[in-house]
Amino acid sequence: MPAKPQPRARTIAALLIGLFALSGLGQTAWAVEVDKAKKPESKVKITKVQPKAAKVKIPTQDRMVAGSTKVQGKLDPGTTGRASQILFFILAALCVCFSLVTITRKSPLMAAMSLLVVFICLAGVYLFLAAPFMAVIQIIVYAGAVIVLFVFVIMSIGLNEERSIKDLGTEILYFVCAFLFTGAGAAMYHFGQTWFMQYALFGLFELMAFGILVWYLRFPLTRFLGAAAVTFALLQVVKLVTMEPVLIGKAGLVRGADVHTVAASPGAGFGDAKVIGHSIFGENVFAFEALSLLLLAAIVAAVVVVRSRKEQSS
Amino acid sequence: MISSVHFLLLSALLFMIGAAGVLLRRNILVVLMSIELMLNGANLALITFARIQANPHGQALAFLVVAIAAAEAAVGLAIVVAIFRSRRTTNVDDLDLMKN
Repeated sequence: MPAKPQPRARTIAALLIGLFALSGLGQTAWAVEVDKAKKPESKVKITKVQPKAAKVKIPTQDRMVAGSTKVQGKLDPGTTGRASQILFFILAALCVCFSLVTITRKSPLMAAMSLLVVFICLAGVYLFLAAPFMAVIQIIVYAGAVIVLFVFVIMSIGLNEERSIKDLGTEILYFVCAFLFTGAGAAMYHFGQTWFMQYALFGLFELMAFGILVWYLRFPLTRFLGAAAVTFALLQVVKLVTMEPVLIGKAGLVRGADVHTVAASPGAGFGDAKVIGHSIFGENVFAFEALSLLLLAAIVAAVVVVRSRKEQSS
Repeated sequence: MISSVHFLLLSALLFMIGAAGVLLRRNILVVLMSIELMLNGANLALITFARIQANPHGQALAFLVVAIAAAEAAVGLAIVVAIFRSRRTTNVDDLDLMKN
């Protein structure tokens, strides 16, 4: 297929605009969610005896902070609202899609770039788990150091790939199509009213999505068999996701609850640098020291291994 | 409602994709990247369990894993460069020096 520069540029521009629109939509929805959570709601009753007095006494924001463990289902709005759930699913889907791109690309440079996207999306996922420090570390160490190292090595040993990236735009387009089909199928499964909508359309969409993936991304499987198998696997995954969640909390296995109500309350500064520093330099200080030795050994080993033969003999 | 199951599923998926990459790909650079993917999947599971238990040690452990992953990438890439210098290849199937 002769790839003209014009359509490819248009495809990439449309993709960027779509991504911006998606992120804007997500942010707006998240803001609305937070706004809603801040307003006093009639459903949430603080006390039964003196509702008026309690409402006057406790400002809503204080209630959100102080009494967050008592008011069920009204914990931090950043992690339990519908919009943030959508954000989580977007991040997770990007993670999985781009990790698939990582292992299917011929060009190692493309693989490294999609691995970068995986790392950044994973940093976003860490924010959902009350781990802001780990998110920052993920960006700095992985997206910064490791990817740069990979790209540096790829550049220094040369790109002797047989296929150029000329049809990149078309492939991205197909990938976005597959992504949208998967999302549409999941939406059908969740919000479908009739049996036909819920199951038949779901299956159809997922089948189409994986057909596109398998056919155009040249995933090295026997194509139709692979498509059927992967679609079936995805069905199982969606079933797992939509069934009553089983949690392993402090009380053992808990059915029908979610992480934010069952899990132990993480406290105010959970996951920031201070708490983790206390953990690393307090209880885990031996591991930290052992790690410093390991890093030293790794530095020496890397230098020794890449030293050229001439220097080694002299 | 997002539950810990979702996070664990994501981590399992990342791990499986990474393992598939290690097994299927022949380019040694992509194999190393797949190992990074697997480490990230394990890290996500660690942080998820740290959140469930409200225990900061899990995150500290994930931090140590990140450091180890960085060291592994440095040594692995050094080995790749050394192999490429002596044998002019990045294909793992060509590296059969110990076979015969």
